[in-house]
Amino acid sequence: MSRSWMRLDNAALIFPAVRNSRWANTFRLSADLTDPVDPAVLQQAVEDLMPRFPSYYLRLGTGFFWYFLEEVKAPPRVRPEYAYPLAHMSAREQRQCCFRVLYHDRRVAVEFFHVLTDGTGGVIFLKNLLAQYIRLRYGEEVPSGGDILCLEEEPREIELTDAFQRCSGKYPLSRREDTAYRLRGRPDPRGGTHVITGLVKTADLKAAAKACGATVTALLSALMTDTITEIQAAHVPRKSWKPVKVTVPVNLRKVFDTETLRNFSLVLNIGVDPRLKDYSLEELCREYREQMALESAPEKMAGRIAANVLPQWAMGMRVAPLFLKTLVLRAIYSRVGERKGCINISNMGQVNLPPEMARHVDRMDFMIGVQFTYPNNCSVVSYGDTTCINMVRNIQETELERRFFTRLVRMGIPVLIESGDAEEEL
Amino acid sequence: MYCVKCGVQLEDGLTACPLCSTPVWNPEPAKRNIHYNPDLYPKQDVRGKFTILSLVTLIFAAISLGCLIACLNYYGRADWSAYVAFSALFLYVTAVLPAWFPRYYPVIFIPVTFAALEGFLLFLCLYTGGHWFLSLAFPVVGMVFLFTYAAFWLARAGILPRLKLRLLGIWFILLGAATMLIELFIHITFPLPMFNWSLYTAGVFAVFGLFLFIASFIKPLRRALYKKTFV
Repeated sequence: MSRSWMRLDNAALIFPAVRNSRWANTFRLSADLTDPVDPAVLQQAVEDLMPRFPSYYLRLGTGFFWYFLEEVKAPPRVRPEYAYPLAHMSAREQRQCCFRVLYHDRRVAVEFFHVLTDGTGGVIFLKNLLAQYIRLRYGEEVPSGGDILCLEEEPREIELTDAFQRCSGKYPLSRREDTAYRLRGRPDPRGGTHVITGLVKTADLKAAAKACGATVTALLSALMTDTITEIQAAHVPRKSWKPVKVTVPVNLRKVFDTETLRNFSLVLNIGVDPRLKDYSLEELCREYREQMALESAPEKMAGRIAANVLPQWAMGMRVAPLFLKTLVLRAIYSRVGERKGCINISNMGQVNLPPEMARHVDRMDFMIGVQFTYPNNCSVVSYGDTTCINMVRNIQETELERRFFTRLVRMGIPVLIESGDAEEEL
Repeated sequence: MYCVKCGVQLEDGLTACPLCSTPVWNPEPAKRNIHYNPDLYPKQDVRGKFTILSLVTLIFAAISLGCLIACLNYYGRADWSAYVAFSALFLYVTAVLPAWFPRYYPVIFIPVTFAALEGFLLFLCLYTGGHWFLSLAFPVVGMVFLFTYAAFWLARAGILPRLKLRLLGIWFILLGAATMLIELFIHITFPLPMFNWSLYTAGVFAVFGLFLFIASFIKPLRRALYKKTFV
């Protein structure tokens, strides 16, 4: 029997093209439960989800003209955590399954290759995995509704569609932007991705954002910009300064009102040019709130999507063999992909679970791996009354993390820092 | 409608603001019929593309005519300048002519390009006193045209994938046969041995075409082929 397969969605096209033997674009979502994880039950939950989530249980295949995603023969085996978070997902592993399920003590983690879905899709999958695990492990009646899907239902067409094609505008928006300052550091000889986590009270963060007249994302982006500006000032002579910009993914499901489970987000590069003036935090917050509101207007997003979708269907692009496409996509990625921002700040927002699940889940984490050239990345998720700010890096210096979290503390927001197994309160 | 000076809203049809007497430049209310006066608006400059194309046309004409006149003056006949003129004409028809249209129309320009090529080759044949046009150039270019046009229509045709695959198989088998015909025409025109190389190309194309033809009847194979080669 032939296995079903699907085209990569528009955003996913870039990820197999730019991966290499040491790097692939992955992200991780995890939840800490109240009890140690039972791997057999977790495995059963992973298997139970397979018919309802066909757009996740996929492997990456190589065609003559395009990559494609093909149904896996069997659901992936759950594994104990075997390395640092977001261990490299090799091409060989991607050919077997594009996500992995890990457990360690009380923690369940799912690491996705970005070709499958984005953060929002990942959260939906993790919620459903946890729901099924809790049903099986504790016999809880977790009701379906909201993000918890009914496993007996057939997957809906809208969940499997490439929403970029449907929501693309007719006229592409230019990608022209100033090149941003690039954070640098000495590569860590230990290799891998290192994480420093800051835990803050969500209420404190919201109060601080409200005081600045901004959203939490705008506040964190403003703080990060301020921090990076300080770093640039400390390391680069003023005449060589560059704009400081942060890359903020926008969940397009809210903009275009769709429920796809595949990739449907675009990044905005918001920032300021510190050569023009010394921006205060309030000014940055105001600037970012306005930039985000302006840039995430549906018509502008449709134009941005068109800039990605229209070239996909150009005859020259379609008939070019895959290796040529890969060369072109790599060139585009190196030109516009990671030169227009300094760091990613991906804010997943508040994750809510039904009470039947919430009493078994203590904490949730979200981590995006470092980009190809960005040595740092920042991911934020709120669960319960705690916001978890994960800063990942692949360099030795922790200057960015230190300055960033110290700024939060100076604003009157207590931060609990975690790093590996050492914990200290600032 | 608002007054540009004091910002108050004005009743439809007023020609000046009652408060400050500022004239209203567009007193016609939106609800009534608006008579478009083209003189009020600056003309859009739409000449850009056509100016360039006219210039290119002039350059082509100048080169061709210049060479012809120079050649006639010097030799008393159109010697080498005829090559220049016909090459320029061929280049113009294939590359510049389509640019006059809003977009490239393959249905028209593929035949036009091949017709220009046939014409150019006919000129070369006649001018050099060759005897290869009718027996070689004409049929070979004609066949290439037919295969190109068929491929174009096949790519565009909105037919069932299995039928498309079947037609593609036939296209490859015919392409193999066409290589044999080309060698036949070469043999007729020049004293070269017949079916020296074309048997190999015909064989390869025939096997490939046959594979596609058969694959079109086997659903799993057809699906696997599509999965690996979709564009």
